[in-house]
Amino acid sequence: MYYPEPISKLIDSFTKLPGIGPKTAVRLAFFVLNMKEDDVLEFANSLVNAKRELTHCSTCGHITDQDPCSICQDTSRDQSIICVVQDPKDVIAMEKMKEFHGKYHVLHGAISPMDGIGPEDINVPDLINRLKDEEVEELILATNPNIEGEATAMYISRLVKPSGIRTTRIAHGLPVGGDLEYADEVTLSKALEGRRDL
Amino acid sequence: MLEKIKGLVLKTQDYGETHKIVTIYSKKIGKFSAIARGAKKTKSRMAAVTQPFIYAEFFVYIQTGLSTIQQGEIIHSFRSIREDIIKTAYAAYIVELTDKLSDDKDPDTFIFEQLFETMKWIEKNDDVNIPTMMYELKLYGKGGFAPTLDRCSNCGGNTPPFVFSIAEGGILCHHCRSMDREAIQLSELLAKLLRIFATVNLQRVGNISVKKENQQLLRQLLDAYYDYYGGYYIKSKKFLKQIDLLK
Ligand SMILES: [Zn+2]
Ligand SMILES: [Zn+2]
Repeated sequence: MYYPEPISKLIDSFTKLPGIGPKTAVRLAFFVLNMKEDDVLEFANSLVNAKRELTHCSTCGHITDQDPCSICQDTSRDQSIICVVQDPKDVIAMEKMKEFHGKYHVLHGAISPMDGIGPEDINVPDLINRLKDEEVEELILATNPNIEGEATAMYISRLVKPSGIRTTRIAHGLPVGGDLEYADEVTLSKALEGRRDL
Repeated sequence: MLEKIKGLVLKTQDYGETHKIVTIYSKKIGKFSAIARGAKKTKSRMAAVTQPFIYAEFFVYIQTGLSTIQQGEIIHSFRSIREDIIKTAYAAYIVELTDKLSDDKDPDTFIFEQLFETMKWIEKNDDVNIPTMMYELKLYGKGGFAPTLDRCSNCGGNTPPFVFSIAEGGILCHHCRSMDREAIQLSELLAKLLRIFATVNLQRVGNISVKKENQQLLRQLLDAYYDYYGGYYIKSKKFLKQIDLLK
């Protein structure tokens, strides 16, 4: 189908977004054409600003518009606990929970034996430096419960153990609201292993 | 056609936001890839069964294009491998080599059994260098570049002492050893070990003890041989080298 160039460029841009196929891209592009010019300008500015003004916190690696980030600057947070996650999105998920009051460290990835991604390829060296400089008592390893996440957690715990800092791994278990009978064997056995007294 | 296939998951790739493409090695049809719809969602029953190293029974809708996994039941999860970073690294290497050196839908009972036995070995033992090399040597045959180990690769003779020549693709006898100045000296024991590794089942060799320095020599020899003939870059090998330092 033929579109005037400005529209086909806009459609191309939308298809670069995750989960957006050609049909949705066309729909979005035509929606933009019908928007008020001010709204379109604001939208365009937000896109550019998000890209330009956000950097990675030089301490924890989280995305931020000020360095260090607001979490690292917050002195009311527990300085003795660091929660290690793979992705900035994980920090946001943890913060939504509002129950964790320590600090974070974002690895920007995970060790992947299958892809040849080693500890040097993710934000591990910075974490080790932090442990030397800051008074950390506990490291919570909140990487994903898959091979890469497990490998990453194991690696970090092996590395840190000799220093005497407590390393803990978040529990694996049944999803809240799920049914026991539909759980797979691996999840169930992990859940059983992580049982606790009531 | 819906088929019941037992196999070991070699690798998975994300497909879109929620699906996975799973590559499986089976006894019945060899290596194949199939899509597992929804398997990336944490609540999906397919999430656990479609992880690398899982041995399971899959119900697969086999098609000429992309096949579809309808369901899977875990038979053996090789859990102690995934809970040990060194074992994970070795298993990743074994599995990646299998994926790279075998063709789609080309069943091979012997390779399948050796793959499974090697995984079981890694699961149970800490010393995994020798079984890894044994499996590699057998896979080289699958890749079409098995070294000649039962006789001189030049004259077919059998006069010791032997050397191993990368360029000639196997051992050279006493008379032919001058053909390759860079050939590696092999004691009679090592020449014999290589021959056994390449042909005998892991189950039959069992706990064979090989001195550390001989293990290292064999390792270097296989690495150099693979670099020369193998062709595919093995990503997990880099990781294996890094992780060796943790031991
Ligand atoms: Zn920060
Ligand atoms: Zn000869």
